[in-house]
Amino acid sequence: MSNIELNRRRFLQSMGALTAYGSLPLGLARHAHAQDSGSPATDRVLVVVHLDGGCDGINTVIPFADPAYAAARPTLAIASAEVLKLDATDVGLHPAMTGLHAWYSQGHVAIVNGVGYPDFNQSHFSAEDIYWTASPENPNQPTGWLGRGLEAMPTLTTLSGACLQSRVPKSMAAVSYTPPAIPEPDSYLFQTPTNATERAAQLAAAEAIFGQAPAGEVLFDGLLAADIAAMDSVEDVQAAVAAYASPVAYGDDDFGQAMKLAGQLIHADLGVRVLTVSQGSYDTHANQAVMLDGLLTAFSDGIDKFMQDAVTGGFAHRVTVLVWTEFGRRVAENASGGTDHGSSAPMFLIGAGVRGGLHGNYPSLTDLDNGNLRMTTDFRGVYASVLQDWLGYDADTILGGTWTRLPLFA
Amino acid sequence: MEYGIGLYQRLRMPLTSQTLRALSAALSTMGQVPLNPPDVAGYPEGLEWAGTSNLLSRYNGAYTVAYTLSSTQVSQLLASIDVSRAETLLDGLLYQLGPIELGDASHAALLAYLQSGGYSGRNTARVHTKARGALHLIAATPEYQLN
Repeated sequence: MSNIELNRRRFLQSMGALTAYGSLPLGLARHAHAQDSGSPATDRVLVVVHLDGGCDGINTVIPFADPAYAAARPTLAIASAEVLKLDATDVGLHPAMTGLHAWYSQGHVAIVNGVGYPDFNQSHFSAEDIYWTASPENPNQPTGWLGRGLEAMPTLTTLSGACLQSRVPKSMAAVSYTPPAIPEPDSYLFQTPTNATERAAQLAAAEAIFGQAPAGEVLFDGLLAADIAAMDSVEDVQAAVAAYASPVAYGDDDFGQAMKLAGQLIHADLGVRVLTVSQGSYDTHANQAVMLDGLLTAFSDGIDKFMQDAVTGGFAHRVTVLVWTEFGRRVAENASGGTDHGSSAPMFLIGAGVRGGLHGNYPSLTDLDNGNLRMTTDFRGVYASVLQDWLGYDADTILGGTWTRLPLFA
Repeated sequence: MEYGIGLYQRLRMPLTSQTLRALSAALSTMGQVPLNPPDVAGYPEGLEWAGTSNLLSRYNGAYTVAYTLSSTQVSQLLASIDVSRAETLLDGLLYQLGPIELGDASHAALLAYLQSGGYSGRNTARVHTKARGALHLIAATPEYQLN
């Protein structure tokens, strides 16, 4: 017996011609983009990383120079000498984030301070729904901001959007598009017998079963849509993995491997535009110092390796990584060596096309809202910038309103 | 859990420590580890569980079960089924696995599979081959997932 992937590909819409810059060094790639006439290139990719569980933004982007920081966190405050300083600013990165810090120093990391929305929700699930739908007012709507963006694309392939995790987050939910969920490529197969005749007969039957006309029933038709997405993506995923052996040594942890797969799918030029990855849990109610150190080490290393891969693989000019969490943590530490659910948190954008540096004001550690940071940047402004200025989508339509965009891209 | 255990029960396979370990591994890739939901909200409902990887894990789990049945176990499974024609073999397998009521499209696809290359109820080896393949495919139908 062997693992034989389904030999079938269905394009949802015809693929458009893809722009290729080849293997330009990072600096040259940025220059090439600077020559664009206006609308963003059609081969740009957004990798959205969710720091799942509510990452403590205060100990990630650390206001080390503010006396209120050490006062609020007598055991968890990280000493100024250990903080990775960001230029001449009075904030810095967690000491575990050496990889990300190096990219920041090269101007390829934008940190957006104090991201949130009015009247924060401190339930993981409600807060996730708000970020996923881009709607604090209507987080129960069925589609997500990335799914709506994908549906607005003039060309759409099976792998235009993919979730490198076991489930499809609501951010990728769409009306007429089912993105595949690919937590790891090794088992992403449809097994059939080795006997060629039997294999062909089983594949033909599977094709007929999964490709049958919708029945007009939500669950039945939803399963068929997922089946078709699976059929259409297994071959491409296996081919992409086989075709690109990155010279970069990614970590063996789940996040490192997910970022490795992201690089392979992007390198394969399969029409990938949006990928989602999740890392965590960052729900550090207790024992935060050790937990956060391990989590941020894996996060920073995964981003670092991905960026190295993007440069050596020649796709650095095509990718931006957006990093978010459903909420930060409260300013004061708790009695368990941890922090509890809070409010605003920083977002990160990483890429050759990013305008590096700090964006927005760091929230005050003393002018609080019931012990929580006040937001200084609405997350929909970040979304609008990414949608419009990086992916070239009509942000107003996708977000259902107009949000002031930030100068996040060079 | 119901999918995995149910498949073993419906195929009359004994739940040994070995099969339970194999089932446990398969359930983890389906995102349904017993007593360990993916987050504190519990196990996903509706279609949330039905991502492409979870479905492929189900189908590959069914494949493993169908193709690791011993010849004796297949014979026992087919003992109460009229295997003289592809139609009756399919009806018997659907009854054994459920009963499952297939829609026209799924039923036609499975029948075409059983008849592909010619079907002979007198050729035991061929009946076994087709029965294994049909078990795999039935377990991959949307009707089976929703049964």
